[in-house]
Amino acid sequence: MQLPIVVEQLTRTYGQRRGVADLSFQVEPGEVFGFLGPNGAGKSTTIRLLMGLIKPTSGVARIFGLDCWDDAPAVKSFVGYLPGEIHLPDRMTGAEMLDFFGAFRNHDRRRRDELVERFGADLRPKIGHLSKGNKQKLAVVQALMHEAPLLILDEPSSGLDPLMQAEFSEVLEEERQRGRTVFLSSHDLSEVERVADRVAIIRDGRIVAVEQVEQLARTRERQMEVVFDQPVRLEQFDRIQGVRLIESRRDGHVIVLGVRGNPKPLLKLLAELPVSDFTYGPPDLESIFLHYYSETPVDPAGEADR
Amino acid sequence: MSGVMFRQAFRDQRRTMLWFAFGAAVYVLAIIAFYPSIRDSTEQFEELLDAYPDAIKEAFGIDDFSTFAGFVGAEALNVIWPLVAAGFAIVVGSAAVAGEIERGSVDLWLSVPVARWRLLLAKIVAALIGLLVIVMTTVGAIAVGATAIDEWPGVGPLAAVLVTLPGIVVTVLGYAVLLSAAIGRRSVAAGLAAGITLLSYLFWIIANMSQDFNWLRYLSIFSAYDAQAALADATVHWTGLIVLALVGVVCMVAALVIFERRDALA
Repeated sequence: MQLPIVVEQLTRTYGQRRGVADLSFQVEPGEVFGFLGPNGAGKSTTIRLLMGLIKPTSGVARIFGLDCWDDAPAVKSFVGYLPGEIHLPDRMTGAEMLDFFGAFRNHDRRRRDELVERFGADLRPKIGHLSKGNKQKLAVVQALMHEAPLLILDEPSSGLDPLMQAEFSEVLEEERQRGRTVFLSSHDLSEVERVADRVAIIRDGRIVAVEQVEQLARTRERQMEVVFDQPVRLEQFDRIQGVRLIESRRDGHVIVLGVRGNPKPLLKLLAELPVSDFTYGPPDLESIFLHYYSETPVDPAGEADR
Repeated sequence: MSGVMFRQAFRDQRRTMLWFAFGAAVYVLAIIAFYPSIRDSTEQFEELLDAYPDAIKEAFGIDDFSTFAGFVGAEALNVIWPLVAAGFAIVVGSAAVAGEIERGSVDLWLSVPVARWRLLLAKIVAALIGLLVIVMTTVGAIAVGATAIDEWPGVGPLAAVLVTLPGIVVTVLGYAVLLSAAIGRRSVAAGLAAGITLLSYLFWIIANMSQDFNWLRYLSIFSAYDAQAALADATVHWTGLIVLALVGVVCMVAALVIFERRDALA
């Protein structure tokens, strides 16, 4: 069987500006593959290449063995697509919009109704009158209702409220169990860790790493801020595996730690100290870049995503 | 072509099409309603016309106000009608590709499993049928209005008008779609298409007024269009009509080819 996605040395430049360069990765059948990077890293450019919207400068992207540019119409019959920025036809109602996109393929009406109900999408008003979140729900239903073997989702959870995000994660899990393959882009490391099996990390238009999510969890750092009733000795933290002291404030009453991997040894130590409060931050994408390119200077103002 | 896309494109343009058809019909009827007062005082009008310089009369095709065809042709069909219908062609044509790109809806639009050229062709066909509706409404208005004032021109002339009207607008639709596909910005495509149309009109006037600039007529789509003659004695300038249609079709094919190859990106 052909792999859902194969990308080989894919490069796309926009005149002088950088797009993406020399991307290579494969997505295996039945996995949820996260495509992770900060805004402007080239995620949308990559998805546009996969969707045959723009032509590669060099290299090739294939979906189920078909060339994403040359065989674009055939490719799309295998893909359910959620765009990053959603612009639905304002003058149609939700139902008309779903009918329109459904009419191009054999879509399962029951599946569509089920999705509409789960996400609470409102089909009656003209789309122009809907809020951003409600438009997003319609777009999500549109992407999933075709029962396509591959889902390409560009920043799927942006615009959904937390309740709907949870619902969406659940639907993705079900899709995976039904053997579908999911490619999703995100700038949110914790989201990717929650739903993905494997992840490619992109920065400044290049792939930094392709990793299992568990491996990533050992690599990335989370910041912990701890408040003490009385000052503590700082050097004891540096001795713990995976922990580094980032700063200390108020004469050692407050410290900020970077924590990689298992936090257990740190928690053991903290249990014996006069802790009055602490916060544990979300996984930090920057820390992964620091890990992979501790010596390479990076350009913080990426400009590939438009 | 994609049937699903065709139906949607036709629905999307429905309101615009009906307004243009309505406007064209109302204008034609108003001109026709004005005709009896001229018919009944032909002599004074002939004197008035004689006062105009010949060049002006020729430029605007005002050679004969005393007949129904001469009057309606000069006042409605020769200039105003093509400009109104061109307005529809430009509004719809310039949006075909550029509208989707500018709105940001192009990525979802192109996520369906149909070749780009088939999607665009469906939009073009929908626009052509929209034009046909405007043409038929106009011819219907002429028939009804003429009957009401006892000037029934006959089936032959009406049929000739029906054949003559679309040619010039097909050309305009062609370059509007081509500009839309090539430039990808709706306002620029529409502005250029309107500019080309008005320039073409200007060339036609200058060519008619001045012997020295008569060659400009070969650069004007209006030279190949004569609805007045069609209404007068069922004359159809087939060569001009075919050239207009061909230019339109060539532009449309070029638009399809360009759209197949371009980045679907603003």
